[in-house]
Amino acid sequence: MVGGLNSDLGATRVLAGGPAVSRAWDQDEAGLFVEELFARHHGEIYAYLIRMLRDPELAADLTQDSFVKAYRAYDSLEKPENARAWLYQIAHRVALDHIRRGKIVRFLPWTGESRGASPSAEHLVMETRLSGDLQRALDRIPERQRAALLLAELHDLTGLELAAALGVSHVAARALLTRARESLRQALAVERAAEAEPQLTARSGDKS
Amino acid sequence: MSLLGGRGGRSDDWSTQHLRARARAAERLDAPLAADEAAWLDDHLAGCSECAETAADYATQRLELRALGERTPQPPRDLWARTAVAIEQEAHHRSLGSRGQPRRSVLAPYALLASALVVAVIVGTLTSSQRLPSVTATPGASHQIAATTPGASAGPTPLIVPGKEVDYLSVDRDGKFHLVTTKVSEVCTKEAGTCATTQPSEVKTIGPLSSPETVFGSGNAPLVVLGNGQNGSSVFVVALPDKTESPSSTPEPTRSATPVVSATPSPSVSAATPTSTESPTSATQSPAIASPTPTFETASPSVGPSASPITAGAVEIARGIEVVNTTAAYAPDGSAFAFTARPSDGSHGPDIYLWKVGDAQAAPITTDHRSVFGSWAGSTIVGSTVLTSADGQTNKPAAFLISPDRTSIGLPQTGLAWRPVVEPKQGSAVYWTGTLEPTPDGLGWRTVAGKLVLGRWNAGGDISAGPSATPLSGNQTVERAETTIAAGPLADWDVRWDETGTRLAVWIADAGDPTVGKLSLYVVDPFDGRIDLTNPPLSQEPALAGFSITNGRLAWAAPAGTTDKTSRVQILAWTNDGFGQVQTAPGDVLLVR
Repeated sequence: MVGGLNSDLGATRVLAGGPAVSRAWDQDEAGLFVEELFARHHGEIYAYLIRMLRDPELAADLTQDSFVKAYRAYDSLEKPENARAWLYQIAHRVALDHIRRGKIVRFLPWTGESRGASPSAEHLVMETRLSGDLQRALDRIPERQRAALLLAELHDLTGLELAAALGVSHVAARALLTRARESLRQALAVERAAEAEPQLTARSGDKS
Repeated sequence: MSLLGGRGGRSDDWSTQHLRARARAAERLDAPLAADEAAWLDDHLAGCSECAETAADYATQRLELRALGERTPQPPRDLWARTAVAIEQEAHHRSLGSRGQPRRSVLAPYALLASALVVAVIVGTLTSSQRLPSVTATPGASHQIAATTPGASAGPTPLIVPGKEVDYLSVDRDGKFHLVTTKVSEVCTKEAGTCATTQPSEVKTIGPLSSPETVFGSGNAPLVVLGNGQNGSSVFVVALPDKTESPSSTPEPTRSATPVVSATPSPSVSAATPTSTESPTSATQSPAIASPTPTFETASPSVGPSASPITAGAVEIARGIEVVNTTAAYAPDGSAFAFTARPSDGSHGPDIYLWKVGDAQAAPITTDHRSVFGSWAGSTIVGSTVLTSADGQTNKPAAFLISPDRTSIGLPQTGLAWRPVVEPKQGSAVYWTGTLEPTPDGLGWRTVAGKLVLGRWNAGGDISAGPSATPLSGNQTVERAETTIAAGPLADWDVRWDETGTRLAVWIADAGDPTVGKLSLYVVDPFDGRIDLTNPPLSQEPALAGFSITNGRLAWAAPAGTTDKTSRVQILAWTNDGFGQVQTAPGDVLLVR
């Protein structure tokens, strides 16, 4: 157990707006704080990451990373009441960082067919759960726009919280969200058109 | 196209009123509009069916999005346990950073090691190497390792580091090589002062090895010895003596009629030299070795009647070559050894060579004559080649991955990367990035303008995993979060990770004499992969080329200094409680790996 993380008192006071979070990094205080933060928010952070990345195992890993980074950056949180948005900001950066890293290196098969990796059963379950044209459309839009939509609609972040989580100004966050809605609308149209095409083809085949 | 047309979103700035309406319709989902703007929007939607449809779409997709929230995925039950452990490790990491100051070497500024000979081998480690400036036995010098003086007092509170073992080779004046084992049980922190010198626990003679220059080992795999001969380098392997056979004695080597197999590489395989490479990272570009049709040929072995005399257990696996640079390594599983070499007759430039344990010979696995070995990424070899621009004026490096059986090759989207050394988890790598130029003899490549950096690498590493390579979309330094370790052209360097990927040792050759240089050890942040350059546990320590790092300890040979006329093996070890250092007694013969 991390030093002090098994306490159930101090961190609660901190998050409830008791004594302001000290700017000096204190190991025990940071541990208590993150433990409480985890208890309150780990479910929604995991849900956000799984919606962003669509990989349960990866989402769990990155949730863990997010809380460790929160522990490390404990002294950067100035107002305890902003802890949730601050945590989302960390998770958001972790997610984007992972996505960006995944784009850095791609491989070109030289001979033979690409083996590929069989999706895990867990992955298949998630695919089913989050499948559908909406999820596919979400995957098509830029990551930052996707994050804005998820945070606003599924995680109920308010305007200022959304701005803090995305690390942009309130105006910029609003503009991003507006662009995201339009991007999603267009992406949904594409997905639904593609979905309708085979059905139309099948129907015309029935008639002939 | 942005929905927010105009400059500032003022109502008179919209390129069309329809765009304004759609933007306002989206915004109204998130916050109420000003009364006049809301009234304008309602009026517009009443008269524009298309905009009204769009507004309805926004509202509908919002409901669909929120419906997704009804199916909240449940995190794994052990998530807190995992996170708590990670935070605990982070806490230790921070503690080390604040109090784990290394003890600086007691060696004074060094001079060249003129008379020493040896190299060592760290048995049971994954990576190690040692290159000596020369291997010239000093008349009158005797094997000193076993005669070290039982040290002075250990000083206060040494750091206990159980299970740290260092093996190395030494050679005496008679040319006999000895495998020396030193067990390190404690080291001294900076606060504790100087420890007693560590004592050899076992010494075994393994037979004369003419002119060894570099030695590599891996677990119980044979030692690979790279050495200089009259006709260029020789590469031979030596089976490790069984440690359980005899105690600390120096038996005479048993000569036997072990067949000597020499390999004469035949690297004259047809392969186009890469040219016209405006974009080295383009998916359509590939190093010459990646010819669509594999054209690799196996080196033609020849039993050489004129082969150098080699004693029992030593088998020559390649000759007639020049080993290029210090980077060579066993695969993580010890099944094969890769290095870079070119023909000693100067017929062409370097290729990557591979020796599989048990094979009679090493063989080149690339054929473009401009490829060099970088590291292993799991069971895959990471190399780099040189891409020349169409006008022939610019030479840039490009990394590639190749399977040991040469059946597949991958092009990581690396941008400019020369000799990448990939960390065990394959999330980052150290590589030189910049431009290259041919060496004066035209047979190799040297760095020109650029830097040695730590940057992101691929986390997967399966060379068959992806469908295509895509170019970096932006600035490489930013895209790969590169941290500069050393800037400018470098004569040579050697980079090695420990098994955990949390310690990174970097040796950079001196410009005037690439056989000696400076060694640093960095702590790698396990979460973001970055290193702290400002406070490394070991900083710019004088060291002979080659060193060994494994989980918990780093060993290297410090060159002879002004106070010590001979060099010593230095061992830096660490635990969760900090760093500490210990050294062997000075001796004419030294080594490390």
